[in-house]
Amino acid sequence: VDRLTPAARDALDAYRESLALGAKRVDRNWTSIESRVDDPIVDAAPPSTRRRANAVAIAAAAIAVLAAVVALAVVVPSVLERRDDPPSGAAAPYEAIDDAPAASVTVQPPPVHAPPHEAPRVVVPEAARIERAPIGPVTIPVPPSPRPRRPTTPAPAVDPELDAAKRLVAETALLRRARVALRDGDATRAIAAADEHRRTFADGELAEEIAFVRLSALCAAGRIADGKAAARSFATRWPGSPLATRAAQACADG
Amino acid sequence: VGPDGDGSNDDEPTLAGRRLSDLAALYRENHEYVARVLRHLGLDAALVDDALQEVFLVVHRRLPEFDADRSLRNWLYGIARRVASDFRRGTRKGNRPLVLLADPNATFPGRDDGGRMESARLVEQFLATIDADKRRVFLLAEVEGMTAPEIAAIDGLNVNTVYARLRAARIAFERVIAAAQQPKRTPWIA
Repeated sequence: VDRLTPAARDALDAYRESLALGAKRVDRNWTSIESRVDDPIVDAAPPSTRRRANAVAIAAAAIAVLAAVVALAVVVPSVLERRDDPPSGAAAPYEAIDDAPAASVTVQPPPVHAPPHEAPRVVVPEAARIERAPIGPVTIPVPPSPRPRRPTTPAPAVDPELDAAKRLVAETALLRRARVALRDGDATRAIAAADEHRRTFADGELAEEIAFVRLSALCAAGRIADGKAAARSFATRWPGSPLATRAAQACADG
Repeated sequence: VGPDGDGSNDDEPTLAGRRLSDLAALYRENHEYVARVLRHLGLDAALVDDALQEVFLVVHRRLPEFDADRSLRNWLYGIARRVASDFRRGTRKGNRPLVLLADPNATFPGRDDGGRMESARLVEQFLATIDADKRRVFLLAEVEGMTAPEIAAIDGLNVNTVYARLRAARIAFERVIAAAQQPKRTPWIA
């Protein structure tokens, strides 16, 4: 059988037609691709934003290392200090409770090194090393306690003293969260992330990108008037933005 | 070398723009092909749009690496296969099942059907009955119009293997078509 009969051929043509996307879907997909190509996070972004994304990646790595060192600097001395305290059931200092059963975790005193070009830092033995650099609290399940926990100082989401690199990392995380939410069809979550960015950073480095995501999310959520107002505000604030055209058209379908 | 010493200069936005226009041209010419391939690879219709976008984002990233001597369609197929696999593993959009049959509620909107939907369904049913290897060869040859050597290159197969699978699939398909064309017998009552 080298060739199909006309009837078979015709059935395959019908099948092929049935898989056609249709003009609207084709356009919608292209719009989405275009918008994601502009994403400063993806390495496909134009070079101007790619450089910024590279800086973000370097800053993220630096922050991760810094966070690990800070976490160890806080955790290890506290744990060591608690070795002399009454027994504690906590697996970590922030889980510590009074008079709890003894913890099974024991951490040996780490050797302290002072590298020639850096401030002294704590080097922790393998057993006590945290595998993933935690940016934020690490939750370790512990048995419930009838006693209230010791008051702890909550870590602020973003410290006003954060330097530019840390700010950029935090901004990028919020932008990513907003974009992912919007892409997944959760406009409310996207707007919340964008609002959080606005509250925290106001004129942040990524304010333009986050504003674009926010107005797109407003349109996606059916808040057309708000979306159009946000688009006008966007055009006023960033008249030369490469996103300006799409911002102006964001609510066009509404 | 630009002021940053990284090869950047004032022409970069133009280069970026050209990449985007290259991508637009590729999309214009191949979006239907990629969408079909994603379906052939077993993706749920509901995931095709997301996966299609992902394929072209990968294309955009990897466009500078593309070897012009290679078959573009084979290259796209390779990317689509990886993206489809990624989607099937549920790393995007949750854990969605692999679907081999088209959406049973699918229609041809806005057209006088004229039995074509029934024909399309017949093909879908046939595709669901043959094994994956034959199905892939059959679809690439008969729906996408690829040659046996092209198909062999995609899957790293011997060309004779491709011909054998294609022949077997064609025979099976013709049987299905012939059976569908048989007039339905009305019960004979004495």
